This record gives sequence, C-alpha cells and structure tokens, in this order.
Amino acid sequence: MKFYVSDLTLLDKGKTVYHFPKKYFLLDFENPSTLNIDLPKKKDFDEVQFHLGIDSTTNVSGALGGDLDPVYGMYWSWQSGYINFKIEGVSNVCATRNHVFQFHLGGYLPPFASMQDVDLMVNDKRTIVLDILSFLNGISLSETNEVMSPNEKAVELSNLIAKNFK
Amino acid sequence: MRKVIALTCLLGIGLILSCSIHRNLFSTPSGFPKPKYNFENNALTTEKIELGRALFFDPILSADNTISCASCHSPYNAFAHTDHDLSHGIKDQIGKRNAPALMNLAWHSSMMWDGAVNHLDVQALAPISNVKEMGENISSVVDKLRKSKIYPPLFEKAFHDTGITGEKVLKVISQFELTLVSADSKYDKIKRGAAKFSEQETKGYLLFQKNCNSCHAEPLFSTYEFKNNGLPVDTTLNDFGRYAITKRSEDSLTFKIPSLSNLSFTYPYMHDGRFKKLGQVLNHYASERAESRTLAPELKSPIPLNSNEKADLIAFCTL
Ligand code: HEC
Ligand code: HEC
Repeated sequence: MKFYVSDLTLLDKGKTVYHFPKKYFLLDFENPSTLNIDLPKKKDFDEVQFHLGIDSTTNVSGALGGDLDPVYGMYWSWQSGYINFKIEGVSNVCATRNHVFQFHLGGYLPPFASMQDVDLMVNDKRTIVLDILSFLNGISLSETNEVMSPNEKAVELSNLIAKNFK
Repeated sequence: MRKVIALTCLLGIGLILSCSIHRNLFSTPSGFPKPKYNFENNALTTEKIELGRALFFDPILSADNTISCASCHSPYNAFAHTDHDLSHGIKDQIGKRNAPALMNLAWHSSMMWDGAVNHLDVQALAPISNVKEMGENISSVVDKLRKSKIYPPLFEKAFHDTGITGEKVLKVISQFELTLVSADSKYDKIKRGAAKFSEQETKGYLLFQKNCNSCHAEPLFSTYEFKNNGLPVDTTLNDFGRYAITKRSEDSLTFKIPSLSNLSFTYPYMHDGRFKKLGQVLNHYASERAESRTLAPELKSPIPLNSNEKADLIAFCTL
C-alpha cells in the first residue's frame, strides 16, 4: 500500500499555524520510515488538513522529482497521471486470478478527479490512523476488486478511503 | 566497439561546445507560433541534449536490450517507422498503432494519436513500459543506467550533481526530442523568400489551402486538435481514438491531426498505417470517407479532386 499526501497543514483552534514546505509525501507501507513526518518544533495544533493525492496542475507538469519521481511506480505510463492511492492484496472472496484485488486510484480530469480533502482533529499522540479494514468492509470485494484507471469507481473508492482517516 | 566510438565522439562534441553553452539551442523558426513546451522547467543545454540523444538510440531502455526509441522512430525517416504499418517492439511483438514521425514536439498540446499523454516529459514512460514495445519499467531503467560504465559520468556532467533519477532520464530524452524541429523544407524556404513554387506546386498549394488547411494548418501543418477524418473502423483493431481517454461519445473515432511536413518520409499513413501511398490518402478524402456521427463537418461531403488536382496536391505535400 502506498499513497500521496499533499499540502499538509496544521491548524490550531481553526487557524493555520503551519504549512509544510515539502508539498508532497509518498507514504509507502513497505518503507516504514516514510510513515513518520517530522513536526515543526514548538507548534501547538489540534487539527490537520491535507489532500489525499496529487492536484491537477501537478498532474500536467511533466516529469517531476523527489517523491513525485515516476520510479516509485505511482505514475500511469499509458495515460498520463499520478496514482493517488495504491493497494493490492488477496481475499478469498475475489474470483480473480490468485484471488488478488488491486486498486490503483487516481485521475485528475473532471468528472473523474479523485483527489480528496481530509480534515481531522488530532489526538495527543499526534498519530493519524487509516482504518483499512473499515474501508474494505465498506465495499463488496467480490464485485469490486480491480480498479486501475480513472473512472467513477476510482472516485467513489477514493472518497471512501478519505473518510477512513481517523 | 561501435559503442566506444560513439561515446568518444559524444565527449568530443561536449568539449567543443561547453564554452558556448549559452548559444541558442532552440529557436522558434520565423512564422511559427510560440511553443507550448515550457522550457523554463527544463532549460536546454548541450550536455543534456547529447545525453538524451544517447539514450534515444540506446536499447538499454528495453527489457531485453534489443529495442531503442530509434528502432521505431528512425532518424532516416523523420523519426517515423516506414517498414511497418503497426509498430514492432521487443520479441517481434506488434503494437496497435503506427509510429508517428517525431517533429516539432514543442508545439504539440498532447502526445500520441489519442492524446493519452499530457506532456512530452512523461511520454517516454509509455513505450518503456508497454509490454509490446520496450517491456521495461522506469525504475529498472534507472538501475541499469546507474550500473553502466558510461552513463553516471554523463549525467553528472549534465546536471552537476551525482545520481540518476527517473526525472532526469525523462527530461534529457525530452531535450533531444525538442531539437527535432522541421523548418527547412522547400515550403519553409519559400515562406522565407529563399525559393519559389513551381506552377504545379502553386496549384497544389491553392487546393491545399481550400480543402486541408482547416485541420493541417500552416506552418506546422496541424492544429493538433482531435478530429474524425472519416476512416472506416478497422475491425481487427477497433481503435476508437480519443474516446478511450475521455470516454465522451463526441470523441469517438477522433485522432490527433498529424502534421504533413516530411510526408515523403513518413509513410505508411494514418494512425494504423493503412495507406502506403499519398494517392490512397487523396482517394480517401475524395470518395471513400465513412459517414459517422463524429465525422468532421468539413468532410461531410467528399472533396472533389480530379486526377490532375490530385497530382498537384501531392506535388505540394511532398515539397
Ligand atoms: C515499438 C515501437 C516504438 C518504440 C520502441 C518507441 N515508440 Fe514512440 N511511438 C510508437 C507508436 C506506435 C506511437 C503512437 C502511439 C499511440 O498513439 O498510441 C509512438 C508515439 C511517440 C510519441 C508521440 C508523438 C506524437 O506525435 O504524438 C513520442 C514523442 C515518442 N513516441 C517517443 C518515443 C521515445 C522517446 C521512445 C523511447 C523511449 C519511443 N518513442 C519508443 C512506437 C514506438
Ligand atoms: C477535418 C480535418 C481534416 C481535414 C479537412 C483534412 N485532414 Fe488529413 N487528417 C486528419 C486527421 C484527423 C488525420 C489522422 C487520421 C487517423 O489517422 O485516424 C489526417 C491524416 C492525414 C494524412 C496522414 C498523415 C500521416 O502522417 O499519417 C495525410 C497525408 C492527410 N491527412 C492529408 C490531408 C489532405 C491532403 C487534406 C486535404 C485534401 C486533408 N488531409 C484534410 C484531419 C483532416
């Protein structure tokens, strides 16, 4: 599982107190160091806002570097655009080859623009949880098990994932 | 051995030109509109262009090191592929479209016959990853380049820092491609006042302006918009063009208008290379267009062309 978080902002009592200078973070669960984001020192905050995915301007800006480098496998080659969220797994209910399910969610052009806004109040541990189980329970894996290009389903699933950040 | 020689030449050129880096590496030919490509994000330098050229001709970009970009886009044919109607990739696999001539890419608003790719810089990802073309992926290309003997120093020289990334690979390939500007044909010379049309070419030019220029607009000979020019669907391919990208019914069977520069070198013609000769192309416009909901309005009725007029048009188109 990998996904992009962009425009990460900290707020305190409704006011922006910090905007991360690094605009895009690729969080890769096979590479746990990417899952910790260093916080600025001496900033109180009670709320976090970010986009899940990559904005449309960036999607049409050609070859980019850093976390946006296409070597990370988060860029579609045959039809331009970033994959905002990628999850692959196995479930017995999937009547697919080796029971595999794959969701490569992205798309920046309306009506299938799939980037999501996330806005969360934060706990004392300053940890954000993505409840993947709740996401998977929210869809019927036997029917929906492969989404690999920008379409209605990709928007729907992206929206569902965004709701499962806690 | 050939490789070694190519490399020393390359370094030679690098050395000679390094003292004139600010020389104009790309200029808009007179009469051309402003390029669409944003050079600010990828400023051309001689080192980067030469590195891009080396990669373009190097089969290291393919999975089994057999196919380079130039295998399909040959420098002898305006960087198109003339032996095949549909492109040939690794392990003799056949793709679903004809390889277009690469030229004046700085003016294209999108890449590919259907505009699937939105920016020149990311175009190379498509052939590199296509299992029927180069069957590779960019991260393994970067690994191979890092391990090669020749590339790390060339990248360092071009970027003034160490390390090869996907971004750098893609950008230098773009740089080379951007230099493929076609602006020195007889047509261009005539426009600059350095040559004159023959009588037949003048007649052809008038026919062209009347019947073709709305899509194949001068001086680039394309607006690069998507249109349906009435080719009947090849049912072995079922290629609906732009529709596959936008899923909008009004885009069904529309393809990016190709430029008509260098036509004598870019046969076979059309997205699937169905025509070998320009005579067939003109027969299509004169009498063989297929009716369909998305057929371009200006082609709703056939373009009347007698055989003399066809010859005149061909004379102009192959100037
Ligand atoms: C196997 C043959 C093949 C190889 C190898 C290949 N191409 Fe292509 N190229 C094609 C075909 C076919 C198309 C048209 C594809 C389409 O419209 O879907 C194309 C389209 C393009 C275009 C778009 C041109 C336009 O007018 O829209 C560019 C640019 C390009 N190729 C560059 C490259 C580069 C750079 C490489 C090497 C990394 C490369 N090609 C390798 C066959 C090939
Ligand atoms: C309504 C717009 C339109 C008009 C008018 C038009 N064309 Fe085209 N032309 C196209 C499109 C679109 C294609 C690509 C079609 C495809 O491959 O599916 C094309 C392809 C071609 C090609 C093939 C080029 C190549 O490299 O494959 C030639 C040659 C050509 N046209 C010549 C002409 C001539 C000559 C005229 C005038 C008699 C003309 N066209 C009028 C839209 C137009």
